[in-house]
Amino acid sequence: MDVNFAWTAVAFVLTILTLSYLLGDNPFFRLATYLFVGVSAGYVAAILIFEVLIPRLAEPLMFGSPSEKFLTLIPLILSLLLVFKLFPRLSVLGNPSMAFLVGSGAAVIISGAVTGTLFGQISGAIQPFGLSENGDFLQAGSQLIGSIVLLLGTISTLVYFQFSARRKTEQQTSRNALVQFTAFGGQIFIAITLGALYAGVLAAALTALIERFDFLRTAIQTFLQ
Amino acid sequence: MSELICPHCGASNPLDAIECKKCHRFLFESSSAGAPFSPKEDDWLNSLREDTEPLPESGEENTAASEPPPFTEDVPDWLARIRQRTPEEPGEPVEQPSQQGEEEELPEWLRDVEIPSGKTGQTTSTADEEELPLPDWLSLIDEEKQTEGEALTTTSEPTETGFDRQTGDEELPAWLREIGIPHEETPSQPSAEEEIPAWLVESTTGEGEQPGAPAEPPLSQTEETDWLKSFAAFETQPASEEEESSAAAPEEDWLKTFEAFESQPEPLFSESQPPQPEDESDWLKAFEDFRSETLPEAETEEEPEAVQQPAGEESPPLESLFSEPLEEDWLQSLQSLQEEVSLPESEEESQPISEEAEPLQELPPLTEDIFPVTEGASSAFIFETPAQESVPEEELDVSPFISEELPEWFDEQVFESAEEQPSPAGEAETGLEPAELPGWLEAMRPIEAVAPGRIGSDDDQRIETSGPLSGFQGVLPAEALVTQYSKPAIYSARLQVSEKQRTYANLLETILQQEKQGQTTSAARSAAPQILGRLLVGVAIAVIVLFALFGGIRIAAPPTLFAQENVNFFTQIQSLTSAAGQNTPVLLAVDFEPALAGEISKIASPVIGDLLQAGKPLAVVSSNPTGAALAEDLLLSSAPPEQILNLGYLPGGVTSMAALANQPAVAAPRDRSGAFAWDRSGFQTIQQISDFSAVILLTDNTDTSRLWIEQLSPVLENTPLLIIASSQAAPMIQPYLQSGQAGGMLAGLPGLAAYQQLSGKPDILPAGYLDAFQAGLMLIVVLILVFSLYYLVMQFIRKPETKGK
Repeated sequence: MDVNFAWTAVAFVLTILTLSYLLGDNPFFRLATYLFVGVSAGYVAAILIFEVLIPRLAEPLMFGSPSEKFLTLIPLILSLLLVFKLFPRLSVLGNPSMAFLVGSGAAVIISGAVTGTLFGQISGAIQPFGLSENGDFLQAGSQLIGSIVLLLGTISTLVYFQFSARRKTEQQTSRNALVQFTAFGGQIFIAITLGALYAGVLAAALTALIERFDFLRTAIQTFLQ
Repeated sequence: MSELICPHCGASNPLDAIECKKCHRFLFESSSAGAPFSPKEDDWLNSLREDTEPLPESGEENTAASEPPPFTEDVPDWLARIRQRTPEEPGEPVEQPSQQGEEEELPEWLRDVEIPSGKTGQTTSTADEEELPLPDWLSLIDEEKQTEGEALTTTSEPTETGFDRQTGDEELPAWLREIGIPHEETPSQPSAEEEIPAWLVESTTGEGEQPGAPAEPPLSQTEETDWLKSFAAFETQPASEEEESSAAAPEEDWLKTFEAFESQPEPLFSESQPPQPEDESDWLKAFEDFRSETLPEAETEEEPEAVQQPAGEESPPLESLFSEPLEEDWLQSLQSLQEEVSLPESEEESQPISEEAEPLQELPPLTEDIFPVTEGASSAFIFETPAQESVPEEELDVSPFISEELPEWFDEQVFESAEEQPSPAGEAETGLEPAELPGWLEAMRPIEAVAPGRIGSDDDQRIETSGPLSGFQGVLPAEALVTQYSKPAIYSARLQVSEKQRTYANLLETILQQEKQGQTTSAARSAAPQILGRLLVGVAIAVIVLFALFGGIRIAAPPTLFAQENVNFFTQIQSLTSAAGQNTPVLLAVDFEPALAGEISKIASPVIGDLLQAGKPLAVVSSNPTGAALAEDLLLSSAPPEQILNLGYLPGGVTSMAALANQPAVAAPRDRSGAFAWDRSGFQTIQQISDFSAVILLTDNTDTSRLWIEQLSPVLENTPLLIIASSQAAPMIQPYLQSGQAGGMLAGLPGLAAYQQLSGKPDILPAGYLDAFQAGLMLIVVLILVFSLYYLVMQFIRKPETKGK
């Protein structure tokens, strides 16, 4: 028996077990999910041990140069301190490691968000109004309309998340009429975006289903051969 | 109070007893024994008249000394005898027998009263008061007299000249002399000379001229019907003012005079007496002088003899007087007792009368006899003869006879004398010396005797009345304490909340109630249809997909219009593959999950095939642990090993991305096998991220794709960032494509179809995939519309019901 046939058979069975969810939550589906979680966890542990700890920590400490060993002690100490987070009485000792992780992660994310998303999206919102680059009037007109719609969508979406309002009589709070109208437009743009996301999810799931059905057909053809 | 004490044996006898039931001796010896006291005779005035009547049997002395009074018709006999007795002088030896004869004719009560007034009789009075129950008012009067007498002895030297003339006044009753004294202060009432009895005129003249001269009958005797008027005049008329008083003779009763005496305040008397001695009547002055002079003589031993002698001489006439059977006056018993009392040998004058009055109270028989007699009379006749057991209590009793008619000084003195009397027991205790107890006896003493303080408070005078401790004093008042305790005060446990707080509490309670109620009914009702609907939808999609996939039905045509990102992606890949002379590595970032590996693998396979076919080395790196394995599975079939550099899992998340973007060799120095990665051929030129010819991101996650774009786009410079994404991540990556941060994107089967159409390779996309995809999407759209209409209709149907509620 070929190894590929075996793995194809295993994949076929697991695929059938997963598709059993069509009948509702059942032990076959749970078996497939538990197996998937277990294998994934084992695989991740193996990956971490063999691709992270050994090549990045053990080998430099054992076989690396002194500079590498010294530099490796820092993550080693921080990692050991992070272990104390498992014990409530000694969890304070893991705070430096957590501080380092959170601090460095926040710094990287903020810097990346500012430079990669904020400035990039602002330039992207302004860029469509550069009509001089386009010689065609219709194309420029369509680009302008698209830019206006994009601008209105961006403004209306931002206005929609403006929840501050003044308190009026009779203990009722309501936003300004202009703000409410703009927020309503932003609500439409948000609904379209969420619809697109939902459609993308359905499309992705449908593509995966089609691929699995194609695998089943291929597997069955393999089994029948 | 209601019994007679025998004077011989001290036994108590009833009131009507004549002889003692114990010793069988007469309770009233002497003459009164033969004439027992009869309580039926209540009128003492009647007995007084009878006593003063001439005796049928008189001695020689009486007949010789007494002359037939000229006023026998108008004046009572007893007053006549008194008149006859006044001129007699006790100091003259010649006339002494006659004087004694007159005294014999005096009533006994007057004689008794007379005793304390004279000098010689003072000792006898002290002796008699020990036995006779003198009334308090008499004792008080005596006490006052004694104090006056002491004062007069020091200041009455000029009045000694009239001593001989006024000695006859000492025989007057004490109360008469007392009446005369305060009456001087009152304005004298003039009376006509003819209205004054002769005997009174004679007596006054005799007192003024010669005390020892016999009484002369008055020259003119008028018809005086009221003998008491003359008596009153005799009492109140001073000798010095006789002429003035005779001009205005009062027609008043003698009782008024007596009342005036009672109403006279004592302080006025005591204060006005010393500075105005000349206002006193002559006879009173003479009496006082006599008493002051005889006081030193009372200290001698001759005094008792002088007193006893006339007392012994008086006994024969008294016996004859009380021998009459009808004479049952209380005075008889008083006289009989007086005779029986033996006079003391000698007593000092300085002894106060108040101290001597105590033994007098120990004679209850007389008081019992006297008390009924005194009912209805003045309160001055109150005899305090308390019982022997309860002396203090009876002393504090207020007599019913003490009324508003009595003067205040009288009542005060009565009570003060009663309160100031020391108890004999107290005197005895003060005289006792503390005994010396032996040691063993002291040890046996109770704890109260040796304790420094008394157990229990002195205020607690309660005595236990029940239980085993009955009769003890100072025990713990358990019952009283129990009754003092009551239920504790009840305090409200309700919180004081404001109206606002109450509103919030109600709101919170409502929310909690809603959470408790839940929606079990709706869930139970929709459980079966949901399963059925899910089954039907699943089956429908599966059937449609399978039918479209394996049925050979062409539902969807390949796309002819392509999206800009798809075109850009194809353009970038085409530019990479077209440059055959430049084998610059391409970085392939794998960041998708195995669940979407079927979609990503189908999209990425033709692109990776084109790059490998063009000879481009591929460096594979993954930001999740499963990415490296999925990448190997993706590349195993088509890529030679020397063209692939699998850097494996890049730990650290976004930090590793940033590190890879800045220093790829530092962030991922080794491949999955552990060999140094960047020494391999084709990858030695890579120093930074921009050294790669293109970066292709395989992602199905919007977040990770955003992080990759954020970290790589700033540093990529001219290196294109191409994205092969799942359909679910494409909408979130679209802005980065429009902003130019990403060079192109292939998303889902539509992107693969577009790449197939752009590349001109029709076998890239398996047959039936696009039809199944289009059939499945159409079914999903139909299902969404159908169920949307269903819920819309159901909402219109349920709306009236909800409005009705």
